[in-house]
Amino acid sequence: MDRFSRDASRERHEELIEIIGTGIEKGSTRISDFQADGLSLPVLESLADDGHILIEGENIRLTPKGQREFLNLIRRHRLAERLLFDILKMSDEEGTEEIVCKMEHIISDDFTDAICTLLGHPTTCPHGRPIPPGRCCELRKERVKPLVSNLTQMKPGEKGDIAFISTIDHEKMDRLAGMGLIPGVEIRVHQLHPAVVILFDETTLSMDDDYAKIVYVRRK
Amino acid sequence: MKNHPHTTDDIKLNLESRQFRGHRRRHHLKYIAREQKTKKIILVGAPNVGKSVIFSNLTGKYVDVSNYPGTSVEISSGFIYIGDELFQLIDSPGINGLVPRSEDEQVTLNLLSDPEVAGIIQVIDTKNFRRGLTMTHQLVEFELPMVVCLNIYDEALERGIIIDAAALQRIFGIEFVTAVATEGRGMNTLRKSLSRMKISHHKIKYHPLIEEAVSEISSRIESKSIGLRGAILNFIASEGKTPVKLFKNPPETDSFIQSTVRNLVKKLPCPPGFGIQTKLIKHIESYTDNFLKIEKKPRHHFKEKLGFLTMHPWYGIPFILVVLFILYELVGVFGAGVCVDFLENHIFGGIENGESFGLINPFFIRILGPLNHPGVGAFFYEMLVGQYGAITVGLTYSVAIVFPVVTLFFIFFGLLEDSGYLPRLTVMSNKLFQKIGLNGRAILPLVLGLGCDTMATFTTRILETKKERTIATLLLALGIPCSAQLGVILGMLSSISFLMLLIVVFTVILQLGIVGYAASKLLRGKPASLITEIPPFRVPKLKNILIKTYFRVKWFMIEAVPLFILGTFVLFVLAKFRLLEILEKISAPIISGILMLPKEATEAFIIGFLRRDYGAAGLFHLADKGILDIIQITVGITVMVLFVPCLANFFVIIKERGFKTAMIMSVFIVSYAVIVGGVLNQILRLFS
Repeated sequence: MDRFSRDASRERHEELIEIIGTGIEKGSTRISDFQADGLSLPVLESLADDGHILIEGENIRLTPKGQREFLNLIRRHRLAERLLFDILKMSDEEGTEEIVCKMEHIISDDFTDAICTLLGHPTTCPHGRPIPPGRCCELRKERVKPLVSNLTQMKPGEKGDIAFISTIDHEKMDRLAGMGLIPGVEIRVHQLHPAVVILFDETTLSMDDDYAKIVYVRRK
Repeated sequence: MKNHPHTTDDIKLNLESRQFRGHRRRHHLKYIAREQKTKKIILVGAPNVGKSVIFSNLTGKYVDVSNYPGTSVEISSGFIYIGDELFQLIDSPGINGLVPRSEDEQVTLNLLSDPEVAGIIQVIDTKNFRRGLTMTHQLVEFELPMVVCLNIYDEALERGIIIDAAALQRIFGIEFVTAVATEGRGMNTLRKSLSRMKISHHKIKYHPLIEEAVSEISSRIESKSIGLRGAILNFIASEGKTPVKLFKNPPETDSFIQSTVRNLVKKLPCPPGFGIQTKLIKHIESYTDNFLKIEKKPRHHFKEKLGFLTMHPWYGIPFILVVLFILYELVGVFGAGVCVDFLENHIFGGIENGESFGLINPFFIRILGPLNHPGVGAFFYEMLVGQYGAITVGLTYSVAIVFPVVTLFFIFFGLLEDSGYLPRLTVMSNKLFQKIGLNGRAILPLVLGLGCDTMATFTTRILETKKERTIATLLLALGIPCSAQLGVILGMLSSISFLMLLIVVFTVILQLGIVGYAASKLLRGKPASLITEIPPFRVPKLKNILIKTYFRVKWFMIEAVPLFILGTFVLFVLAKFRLLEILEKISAPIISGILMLPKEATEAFIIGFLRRDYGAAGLFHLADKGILDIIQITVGITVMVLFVPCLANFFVIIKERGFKTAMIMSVFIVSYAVIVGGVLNQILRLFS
């Protein structure tokens, strides 16, 4: 097997794990669900033989090994999305999703952690799905100074532009947008205690940490 | 724009020409409204934009406040003439966006989708025009005639923000009226503009996937009502969480709509609600230069600095203390002391030991005197003017004691609201309340409880989640003494022993902490997170506060007076059929056994359930006679503060939280109060 086809087969394998993992994340566990997505029974069986998935009657679930691999992949995928969409401001029309899909197969763990740290350890992707935490999130090892940080990590008096809102709670996103707090808005942090108070345009807005933790700002 | 002595003039003229006077006018308006199927006009806007001032300015004084069916959201409605036609003006709840995320937005959306709606008046805080225009765009989708009021225009000018209303008019094709509603400025122009309301055709193209879904859904809906696009867009923005009943469809269409939205959400690059609002804000940015001029202006540093000082973690505290002190002086000393004394003794009065004082009660006692013969006559006599009479106790209590306290409280409260201090207080108290499963917004009902727990329990409606409402109701009933009781306790206990007063206060506050913390852990559900806009400090206008107070007091009296009278009636029945004595016998072992109080104290406790101040006073009465020692007083008062406040409060708990919850709460509170009293008794005896 030459190098190219080896990489291609690994990429194919990772794609399969990703489809199954994402499917399970969204709540589908039946074999028929995945067959509808184009996964044939032999393919599923070969994954089961490798010890990545378990087939129990009509249902599929990931083994611990498969789950580990899936979380790793999806973490790379969603961090890459944050980087490309929110920081590099690439739009959907530029084929950004395709780039992301390629990136997730080639970036190393260290590189992934570096992106994560740079972005201030975000917890969700732009679609509002969770990003599994990596080692860097627990250690908070800040080898690179984060470019983006959430409001609770700012100091009073600091200014910045909203980079993104990161949460799976869409209600909170709507509330913030309703207040006019969307990416690109310039804000100033006035105080952090007893509640976070920020200023933007002619608005003074106070919020507790539940909200402040999901608003990520690019410092000025 | 200076001469606006009577902004409701034209309405009044209109009505007078129809020769109706006094309260009959209002009934007449209601009658016309029913008969002619009056069209509705909806007032929409964010919180703190002066919506309610504009509302009362447009409608005058004939206003109804009621719950929107099936919700705890209150909406006011009144009547307004446009030309010769009568319209019903409805004040929708203040919302920051139309995406239905809470009951407030839901209610607004339902109001807008009503086929009887003839127009929208949107109110914008001019200095926050971006947010306001975002909503304008969303409202335009409902394809209804509109007019926009650029309110608080003076604050925008102060900040050098100059908005060209004519330019906005050209962009949207509807009228924009600048106004300072609190001073009545611009109100006549607004009123006149109502007859020229137009439908705006300035629509926005959203994400292609959203547009595709909208057209797919609307092609499936048979009843092509006006504003369908608006309703569908909001349905999508809420990710399918708005009840589909908005459209009235057969079930298969509903499930088609649901699955279309689900698929759309999966394919979109970000949540639809967020995406729509982001798109709008960016769109507004693209034409801002056409209507906005910014002038550099010196800022009001003093007002701003003061505003921030009141939110400072340390410097903010003295402000809270000053506010609490003024509250105590105004409501506790002046209201519960001076005013109550005057009303109770000089206006209502009564007959004691053959001596009559006051006016109202002696009058009724004399006029009903002839009834007082054994048999049915005496029954009614006692029911109306006896020891637990509906007039001598129920009415006297609600009008002589609760009325002045509540009125002064609402005036003070109006000052806090209109000055902009209230949201700052919310910020200051947030951390503390989070520990007991609430957030800063809970300061409102809890502080109101110091005025009257019955009233405060009504206002727990402003809290967002059911869990918060339950905790706040529980804490109010358990440990917030109302002003009537507070006055008696503070006055009497401090004259006996200041140390004991401190012990009582400390014990009660400790229980609030313990019970609140436990409830926050035990009750299911999560507390709502806090996000509040902090308006600039403003000088309150007395007239607006008085109008507000008038409506609030009226609402309270309508809701609460019947409950006080009902409470008195229950007590009358208990006394009449000697059930009180049985109750006293049952509870005597607890009172004397666990709390080590003489059995005479039982009566004070039971009376305390009707009137907390009487209960406390009853205890002090016993102390005066030398029946109670100092430890017994302390224990007795502590237990009484912790007890369920009064029957009226109990009824409100039933009304707001349901019978089952009310019963569980009451049983818990009574047993908890006794246990705390017992423990406190043991501790005090150990150290004395």
